[in-house]
Amino acid sequence: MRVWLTYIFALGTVVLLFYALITDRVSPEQQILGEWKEISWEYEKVDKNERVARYRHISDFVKQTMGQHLIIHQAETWTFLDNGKLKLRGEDKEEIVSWTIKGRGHILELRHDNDAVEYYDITGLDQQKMMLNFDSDMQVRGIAKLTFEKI
Amino acid sequence: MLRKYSNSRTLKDNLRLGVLTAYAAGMVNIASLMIFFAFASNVTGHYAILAAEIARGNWYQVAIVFGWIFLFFLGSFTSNLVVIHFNHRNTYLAHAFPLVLEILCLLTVGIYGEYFYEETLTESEFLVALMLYAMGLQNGLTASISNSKVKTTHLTGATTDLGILYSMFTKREFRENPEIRAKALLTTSIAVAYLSGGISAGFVYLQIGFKMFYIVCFFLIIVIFYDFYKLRLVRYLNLSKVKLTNNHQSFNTRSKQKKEVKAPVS
Repeated sequence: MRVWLTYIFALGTVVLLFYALITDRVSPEQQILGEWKEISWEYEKVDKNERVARYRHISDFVKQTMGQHLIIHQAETWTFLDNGKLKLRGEDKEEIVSWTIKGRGHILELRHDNDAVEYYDITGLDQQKMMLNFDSDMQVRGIAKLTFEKI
Repeated sequence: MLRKYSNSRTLKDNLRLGVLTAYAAGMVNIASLMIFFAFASNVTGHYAILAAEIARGNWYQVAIVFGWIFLFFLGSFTSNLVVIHFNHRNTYLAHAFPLVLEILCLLTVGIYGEYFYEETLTESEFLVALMLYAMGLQNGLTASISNSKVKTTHLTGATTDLGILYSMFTKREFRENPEIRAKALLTTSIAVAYLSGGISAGFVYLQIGFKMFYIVCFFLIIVIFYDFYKLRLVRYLNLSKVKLTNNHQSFNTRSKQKKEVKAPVS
């Protein structure tokens, strides 16, 4: 009987620990809601050559080229709505796509109306800042990082 | 596959159990990765992620990954608890029960995914948790009843063993040792089955989506019913045969006796 009590106590402790960790923490699904302004695109893995490594920021031309198959290249503000829609607004363009978060809250899935899907790693998300990473198989080496600021 | 325990199991028993369950685990793992972006069977990666998330102070993610690891542990705990407490009463039932639980978990994932899934994060986390519990149940069961010879949900240990075993085969004495050869055959079969399960899940998921979990359940049902068939059906047929033979013999004896009785009268 004493053994079983020990087991029940241990299980209770684990459940309490889980509860303590999960409550009062905002789920990434909630945290991402609202309007975000893109502030930079960067290489995370820069060239070993020092002369090249100085240029961490991607020029607008490269950004356009590497992102031509992505929906984000013309969007400067992203508005995540709680109905699962994301409003992407650029200088002269606006598009609405669907969004979901997967994994342990670290993958952002964006789905177009034509069922094309894009995935981004959420590498940082808090009240003020959001960082997304994506792999590009184009001439851009390494992982590009997009940083956003909450408006 | 299920009715024998520990050292009384033959290589054939372990091979059948290992191949079928490893194939199922490979399918579940890849399905989970493709649908939910989280591994459902191998837990080593989750430990690494847990450590990284603790270091970063992402407590929501810490809770989720901690919960997943705990559920895998709980699955293994449940399996062995059932085996060691009910083995002496009915070995087959004690060994089949964790698999029944596993099938229920995977069926829930399949049915929920097909009819109710709205792609929210909470749903994804819950479904991955169910799969991790199912995989814990399976790994706990196979390891428990095979004296840790069959572990089918991850390949870290298996790959290590394969490296060791194949290096041993460079020496003749080990090459000719039937025990080592048997272990190599079993481990290789499990690795191949796990990989094949993963590859086929990749193709099948794209065609039939969440229905794929019904196929996984089908493999587990084969594991359960193979022994059920052996135990019940064959025994029933044998008994029927014995009865028929007895009846036939007694009929012959009786008719012989009748003839013998009738003969003096005529």
